[in-house]
Amino acid sequence: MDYNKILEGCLKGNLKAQRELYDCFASKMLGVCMRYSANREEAKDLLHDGFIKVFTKLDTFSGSGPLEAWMRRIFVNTALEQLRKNDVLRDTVDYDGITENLDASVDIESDLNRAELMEIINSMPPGYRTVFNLYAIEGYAHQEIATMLHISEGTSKSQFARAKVWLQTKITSKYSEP
Amino acid sequence: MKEEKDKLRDFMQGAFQDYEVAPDPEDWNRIEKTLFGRKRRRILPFIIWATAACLLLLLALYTGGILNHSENTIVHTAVNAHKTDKSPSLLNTNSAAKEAVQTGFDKKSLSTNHSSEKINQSKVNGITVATVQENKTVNEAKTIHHVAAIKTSQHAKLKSVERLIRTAKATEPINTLLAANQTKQTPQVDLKDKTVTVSSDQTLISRAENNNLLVHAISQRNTDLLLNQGKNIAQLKQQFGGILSGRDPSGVQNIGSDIRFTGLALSNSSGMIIQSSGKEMMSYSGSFASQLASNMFTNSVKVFDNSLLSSLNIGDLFQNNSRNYFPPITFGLNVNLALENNWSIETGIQYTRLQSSGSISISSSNAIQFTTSFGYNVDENLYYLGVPFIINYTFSQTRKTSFYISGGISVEKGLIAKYKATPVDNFPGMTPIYSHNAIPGLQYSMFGGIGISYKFIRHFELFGQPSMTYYLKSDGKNNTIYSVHPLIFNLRTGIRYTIK
Repeated sequence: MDYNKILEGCLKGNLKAQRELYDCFASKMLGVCMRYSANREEAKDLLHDGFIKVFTKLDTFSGSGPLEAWMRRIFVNTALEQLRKNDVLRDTVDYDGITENLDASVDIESDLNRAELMEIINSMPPGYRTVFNLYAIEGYAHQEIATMLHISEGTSKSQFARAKVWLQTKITSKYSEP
Repeated sequence: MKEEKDKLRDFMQGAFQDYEVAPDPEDWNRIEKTLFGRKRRRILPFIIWATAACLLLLLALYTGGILNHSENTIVHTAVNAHKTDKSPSLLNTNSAAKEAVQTGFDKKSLSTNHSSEKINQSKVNGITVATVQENKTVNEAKTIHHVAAIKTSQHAKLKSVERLIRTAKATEPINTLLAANQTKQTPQVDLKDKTVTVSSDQTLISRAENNNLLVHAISQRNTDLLLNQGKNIAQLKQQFGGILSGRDPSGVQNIGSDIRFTGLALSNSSGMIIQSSGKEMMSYSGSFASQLASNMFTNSVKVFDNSLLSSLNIGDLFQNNSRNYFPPITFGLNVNLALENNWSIETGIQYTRLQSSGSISISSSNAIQFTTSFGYNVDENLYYLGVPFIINYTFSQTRKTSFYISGGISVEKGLIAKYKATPVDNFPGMTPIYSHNAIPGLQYSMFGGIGISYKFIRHFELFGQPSMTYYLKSDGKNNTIYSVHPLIFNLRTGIRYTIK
């Protein structure tokens, strides 16, 4: 889809164009926000803040890459800013000493559908959830995550390990339910 | 382990790549509300800028007032200097004439007495009538130099004026400016802008009129001003006797036209006159014009007052003037408020520099090949501070560059006019003149043009805008490119802050 006309309108502050851009990307961006939030209300706050940021910073979009990727970064950064602001990442511990108590019998990849997975991710503590999102879904390296979250690389690894343990525990308990 | 992590990543990325959650309708409403609030808030800086610009203009106006005051002081100093000068009598007479201009009404001519330390020190062998433009008082006039004077050089009575004017009316009925030609007199040199000299020398009058040099008149404005001094028509009749006889006030309105004096007249002790159109010379205003003319006069006496020159050689004396105006340079710091549909409004502060360079010289060349000349090169710089009010329409836009058409008005206040007059030939006794004047009045203009802007950082643009600009007639007295070429092509440049 050619977004140039919509972007031109948005750059001029045209409300109609802004609505069009919102309609194009709101669902996808709310999906991103949901992954970084504990619940829908938090996600909706992020959606609001993210779109305001998109509209005000649209003139910095170079146009060299896909618009969606640029917007996704804006929303992820908005979520991270919120986490930093609320200081939810402070209770992190280093990777050393953490045992990855993974049960090999649990097959995460095949045993869960997306809705169930989302539910488990939402239930994670913010630190686990954030690192898990950034590493497993956004594809960032631990070094990059450390920079983004102002934590050490070891902390990022430990948070991811804990997130995986959390995930497996939840899956195990889910399937062990009568 | 690595493989396991990659597997997890692949799974998660696959699972959430196109993950979507439908927002609620109120989610957009909330965003829209925030956007609307931001639009309202963005007007605030624009208002602040506009207010700041207006305040700066007011400050400039105030500063202009202060400079006006200092200009007056400079002129006073010049007059006092002349008073103590023991140079030829003509020069003394001239200084007295200037003094008369400064002091306002002569006690003998009009009963409207505004006491002044100089009012009784009349060295003018004539009658001085100070008039004031519009409804200003004499004191105000003295401050802002809107003073005109009528004087005769020999006949110090009102009847002389009456006779001169009557004669002028009889002999030149077509001319709305009333001249006189009775007795042979040496016209007085008056170095002050807006000064009117009544002369009875027909030759001189003719030459002056041909050259737009001297205006000999009592004009409508004079009469109005007399009325403004609290005189009623009866008093005027009493004072001017036959001049106004049988006329009603409406008739008074028709007896003349505006005062104009745009020339330089110089006399030596032989009664010889150097004259020319002098337009360029006197287009400089205020104290600088006085200083320049005074220097020219003084040096003319020194240079030409010798036995080799006689009245027969009048035609062999020349005054040469030239003046070049450079295009105005305007730099603005503007703030631009984007509206819907590619329109925007803009205001700010603009700084303009006007520059001219010219020369004035007087030379002689007579039958026995006596030649000499002297003169000055004059550099003039005028500085203005103004506020534009602009509306723009952007017709093409890329990420960094915009093309637009633009139109608007601006109001400018002259801050200061600076002059430097350098002697051309280093004639002994001629020294450089450095002077400055206030620039009275406001300069209004209208403009339209095409502009290009380049966004160099967020919200900030450099702009260049070739425009056609029409400068309305200003009430300022300085001749500038604005007054000489009211419709000009100029380039407006600056930095613009855009609020979206």
